[in-house]
Amino acid sequence: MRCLIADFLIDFKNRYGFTARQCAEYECEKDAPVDFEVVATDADIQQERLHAEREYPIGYLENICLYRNLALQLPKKDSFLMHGSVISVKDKGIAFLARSGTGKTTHTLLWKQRFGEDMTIINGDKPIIRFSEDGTPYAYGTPWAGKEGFQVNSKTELTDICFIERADENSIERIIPQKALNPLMNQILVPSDPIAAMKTLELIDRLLKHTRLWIIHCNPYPEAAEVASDAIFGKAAK
Amino acid sequence: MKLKYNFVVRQVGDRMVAVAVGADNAKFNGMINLNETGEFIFSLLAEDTNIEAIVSALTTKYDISEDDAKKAAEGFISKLKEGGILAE
Repeated sequence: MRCLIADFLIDFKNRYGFTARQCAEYECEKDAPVDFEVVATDADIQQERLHAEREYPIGYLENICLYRNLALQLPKKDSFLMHGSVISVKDKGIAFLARSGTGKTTHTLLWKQRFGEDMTIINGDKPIIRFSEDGTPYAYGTPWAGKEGFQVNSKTELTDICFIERADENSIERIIPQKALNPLMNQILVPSDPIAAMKTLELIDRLLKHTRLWIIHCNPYPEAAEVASDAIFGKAAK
Repeated sequence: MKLKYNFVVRQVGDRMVAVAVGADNAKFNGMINLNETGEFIFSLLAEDTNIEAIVSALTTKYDISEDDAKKAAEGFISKLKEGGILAE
């Protein structure tokens, strides 16, 4: 099926129904040369099955393989897959990154509580980051959106990247690129192809230069979103 | 000794970063931060070599004493060993 994701025309050679349903909102019949052709071979699916901790339906396994195989091709066209949650609120596009289980989703929802209709969750789990020709990073919604399924078929300029760490007291600090490098790299798939890997590093370098970087130390209560958003929107601390 | 895996090295921010590529990408899924001498030693280790040869290369390139070069080389190599990416 053909889809338009991150403004790329993508031809998924899916054989099972799961992907067709999941990507329905992104389907695009446009008759134009595709940017990416994405295949999941039987060997890919078998490999995924062996690595899975539990038994999954084959269509689901194919779906995971397809997204990975797309992600591995993205750097060719100035883009990559990032594990994290991206929101659009007021004039900012903000990414929340954390190791699985830290509370990225909880923190995202605290912001939603605070900003309501003024805020959109672009993607709650695996957005695509794509650079425009002038080098500005944008985060795009994709059908791959984690267990909560928060996503919209939309984009936002990515202005801020926040690393989430658990704490008892809420605080936020601005950090330099050097400090953000390790936690950022942990959330980005680096392809095994040397050219694509090199390109990914170049894009990460660009991303670090084009965004403001923060560590949010937070607990799971509403004050966490207040403290973080006040700093990001430039309100003086209490 | 030499590196167990194939890497690409590039500047990201103000750091030099190495990541594994090829079939090795799945085996070493992490990255290595390199300072200037580290980057140089790292590139020497792409082929099989030994500590003496690395020390010679360091003293030639950086105009430092043999003792300093040996310290730098041994320190860096022990870190690579700890990381499990160096084959004897």
